[in-house]
Amino acid sequence: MHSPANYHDYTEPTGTTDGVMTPPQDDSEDLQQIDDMTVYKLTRELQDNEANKRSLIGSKLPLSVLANEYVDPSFKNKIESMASNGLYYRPIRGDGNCAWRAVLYGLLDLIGSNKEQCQLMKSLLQNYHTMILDEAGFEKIAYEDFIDSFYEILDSLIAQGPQYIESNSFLENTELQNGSIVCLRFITSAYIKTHSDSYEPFLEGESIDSYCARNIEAFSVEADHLSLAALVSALAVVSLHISYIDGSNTESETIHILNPDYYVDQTDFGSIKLLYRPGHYDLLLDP
Amino acid sequence: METVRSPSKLSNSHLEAQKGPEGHMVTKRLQSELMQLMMSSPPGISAFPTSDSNILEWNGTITGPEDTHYENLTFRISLSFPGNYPYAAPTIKFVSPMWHPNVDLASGQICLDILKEKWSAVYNVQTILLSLQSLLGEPNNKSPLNPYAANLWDTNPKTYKQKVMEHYQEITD
Repeated sequence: MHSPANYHDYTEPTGTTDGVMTPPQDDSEDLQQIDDMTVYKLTRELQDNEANKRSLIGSKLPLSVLANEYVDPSFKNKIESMASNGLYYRPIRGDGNCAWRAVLYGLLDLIGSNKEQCQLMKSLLQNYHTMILDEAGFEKIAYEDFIDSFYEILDSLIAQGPQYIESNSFLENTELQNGSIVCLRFITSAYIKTHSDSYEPFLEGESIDSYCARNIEAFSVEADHLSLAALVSALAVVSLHISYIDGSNTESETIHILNPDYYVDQTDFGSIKLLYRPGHYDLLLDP
Repeated sequence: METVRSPSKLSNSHLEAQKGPEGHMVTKRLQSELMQLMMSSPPGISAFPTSDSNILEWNGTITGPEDTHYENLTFRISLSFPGNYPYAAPTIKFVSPMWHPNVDLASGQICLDILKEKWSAVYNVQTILLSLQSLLGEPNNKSPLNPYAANLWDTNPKTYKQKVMEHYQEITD
């Protein structure tokens, strides 16, 4: 099996060269002549090709499975100690959207078996979160399709119950998942922009608009701690419980809990658990 | 250069190839953007698909802002949208020769952050064209594609204007 320490760099050994990025037909082009934009696009395409080999959201597995992938005791011991609590995890595709995708699934998992909560989430999106977007100056034309993706998921969850998010029509649905991720990104950005006094001191001189454009609104850019703190406050219906695993000598994981600034209408759907290993987030689940 | 991902290039990933990158969103989104542009018709910018059959290729024009070297000058541009727009940025080029610090004179390529690392689905044709229009009056001289233009902008406005006019081709049709 692969070395999880290199999670992002790992390529499935397919035995063919299919996975290797080949430049477009006119590859006689001198490297010198390739401009920044082309390099940027090729790099992006290469990342996409690598990431596309993994499931968007993988099957639910006992954490002991993950522990077995490690040799390095500093990682292995921490995951084993968490596994002894009976926790499960779902591997999330490492495409730069992993934290966002994990939170999306975690939220749907929390409310999936309760139709009233799904309805409530939908009406909050319609009334509360859209209001933040409007207040922050987001154009309707920019966000409406993405909000619609989220509605569509919630409608299916209401109609089909929790098995919907276990089905391939959800798990492999790039369009609906990615649309909803953009929706989460926009709501988070809007929250930061409408609460700039709270976030500006952490940006080391970068403007709020620039930070949000580069780190939050841009698709496939990994979430940093600040983004996740803002996401929790923007959603205002869940807390986030993040277990950090790294190569340090400590026996157990480091836990960070992110609570929203407030829960909208006292709506608390519970806590989403994430597992963080350097550079990557997966979702943790109770048995 | 080809900018639209052809199906063959997606064949590396059968999952993506079956479902299409982000499905039908691109068509719906571009239709809304076209509608918005036609309804609001902001001054000094225009854009429209080149043909009925392909909504991914557009032509447009940008007129320079008042009180800049480009005042009253109108330039043609081309816009090419990837199949996964708005997740990825369109490729936009000047078709008319454009003498400007952030435009490559030979290819018409533009260096603008929102078309690169700051791209997100927040932007649309209208906001991009308005950004391009303001770029004409406010170049980013720190990372020029045309260093001579960047230099003249700072040191010799008169020669700068001469250069702009030397390369300018009026749109006739």
